[in-house]
Amino acid sequence: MNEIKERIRNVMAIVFGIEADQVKDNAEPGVIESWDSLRHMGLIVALEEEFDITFTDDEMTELLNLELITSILSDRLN
Amino acid sequence: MKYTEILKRNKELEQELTGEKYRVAVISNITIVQLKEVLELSLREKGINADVTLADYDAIVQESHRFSDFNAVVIFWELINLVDGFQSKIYLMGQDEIDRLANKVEGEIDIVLKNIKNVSLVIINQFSAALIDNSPLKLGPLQILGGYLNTALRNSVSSTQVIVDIDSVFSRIGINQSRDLRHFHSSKTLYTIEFFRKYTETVLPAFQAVNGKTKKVLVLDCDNTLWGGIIGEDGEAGIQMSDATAKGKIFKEIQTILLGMQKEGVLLALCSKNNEEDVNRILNHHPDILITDKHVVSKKINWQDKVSNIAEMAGELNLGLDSFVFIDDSNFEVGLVRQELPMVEVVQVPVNLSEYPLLLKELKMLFFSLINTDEDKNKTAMYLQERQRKGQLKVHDSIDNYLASLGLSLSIHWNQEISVPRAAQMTQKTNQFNLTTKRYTESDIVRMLDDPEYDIAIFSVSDHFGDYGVTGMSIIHLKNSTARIDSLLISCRIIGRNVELAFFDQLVKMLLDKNIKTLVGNYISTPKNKQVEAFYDGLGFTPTTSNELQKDFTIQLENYKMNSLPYIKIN
Repeated sequence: MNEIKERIRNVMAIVFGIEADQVKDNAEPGVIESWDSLRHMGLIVALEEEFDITFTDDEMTELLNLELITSILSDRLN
Repeated sequence: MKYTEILKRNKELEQELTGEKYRVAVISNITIVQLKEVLELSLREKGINADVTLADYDAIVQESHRFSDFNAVVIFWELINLVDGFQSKIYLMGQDEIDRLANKVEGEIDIVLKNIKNVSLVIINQFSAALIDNSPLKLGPLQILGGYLNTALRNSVSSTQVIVDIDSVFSRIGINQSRDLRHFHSSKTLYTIEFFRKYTETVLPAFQAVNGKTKKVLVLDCDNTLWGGIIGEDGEAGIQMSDATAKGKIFKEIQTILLGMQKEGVLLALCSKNNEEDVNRILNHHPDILITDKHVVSKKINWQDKVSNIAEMAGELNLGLDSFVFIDDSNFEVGLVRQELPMVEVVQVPVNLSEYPLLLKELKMLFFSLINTDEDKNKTAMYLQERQRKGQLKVHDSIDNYLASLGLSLSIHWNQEISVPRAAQMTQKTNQFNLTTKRYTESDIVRMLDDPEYDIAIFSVSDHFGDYGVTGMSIIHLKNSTARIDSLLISCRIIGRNVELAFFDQLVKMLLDKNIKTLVGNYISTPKNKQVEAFYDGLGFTPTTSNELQKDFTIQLENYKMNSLPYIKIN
């Protein structure tokens, strides 16, 4: 779980153009300034490539913040 | 390359590139996301300091005005989003309604293209229904409307406005790999990142053309690249480029494609390790040849390395090496040019020759030019007039480096029965690197093997590209303390790797062990072996007697200076 979260953190850092340690556990669009709707789509592409999965429509609607993304990805990968 | 890697590399290049920004705007009636970074990176990798701006969504007409001073504009005008939900609603619309919409969009196309008429490059995609609405047996209203608008588009564009056949981009990667509809209804996104990569690759030549980075010269090897067969081995009669054989048909098509490219302004050049007279005879007199002297701006037919030759061509034509494309069938030449001249686009003739014509056709895109003027068509003539020699590039140090990277290895076998058929065959077939061109039969070779006055060596060569097998041989005649080189030859497949020098070192060592003091070499001139005329001079031999047909050389073995090539391993 933690290892997955770290990988997500690194992907977010690259997509949002910030350092990985700036991606705190409470990361979400309001908290990370550059997390707008366009970058959000970039984030999804980057996560799918990183974890070699394709999100379903339902999952996509729940990818709202770091915690939820971590939990969805952990479910998918286990 | 993964999207995160694209983002990282793109950022690095942004720091590295300096100078004025090349400003590109993407205007669209759908949401375009990853194209920004994918396109930026591709352009930056070509040295274009690009900055891509994504325009506001779904405001093509208004936004086109805002970007009239940009360097380039890319337009994604999607048929399926002309009206919200259009892909399904169009089936409910009456013909009047569709006609009104068609007229409106047609007018808008005109306005948009006029707004950006001064932009030096406009790329606009054809209207397509392929991603959403395919009915191959009966054209649907969306496809009919698309066809109508495409005609309008073609009538409105100027010469700097390029229409992209986007369906051919889809067909390259497949419809399913091109579209991602998960955000289509909520955010009007349509494309996958794979699509953006392929799309960028497709439009890149247009950007290169307006930035003076397009390819101009296509340099071709001759044997097994321009025609089938090896002139030095197969002779003029063995060259295949006509309908008489399947292989010949392929090379006939190759030459036909080349002529077409030349007509469109591509400069053709030849670079071949051959005797110049042999190649010229084919170019000027062979009944099947389509490419002749007048189609070629530069010819380097000699035994010099191809890196030096291509560099000289660039100097003579006054063109940068980055405007060159080089095609050859040999791993060795392809590897050498790729390593020493990384700015040259290097292409290898495919192992399956049937794929060769298509490969060549695809290369055409590298030479993309926005305008085909009469000047383009006359380019070859222009360059022919201005052909001049410039300074040579010294590349020998780096060629040694290249040879060192090949992992060459040489195995020499003396007096082996098993090699008789191959040894005889090589004396029969080898013409170019052959000092005396004496032809022997198997029984001749057997006789010499049984005779203590003769030593016969065969040698084989391998490198990282593969094992070339037995590719050289030599026959030595010993008498008292003198040895005479009766034959020395290597196959044209391994010419240029200096294996003959490594062999010679081993030969001399063997002779010294036998207490031989004097070594005599002999060159017998033929129409095909000019390249070895100075072979013995290069090894420090002294010329003794000579006439037009042959030359004798001699050396005291104590004076022989070993070549000791560090990059050839002796087994």
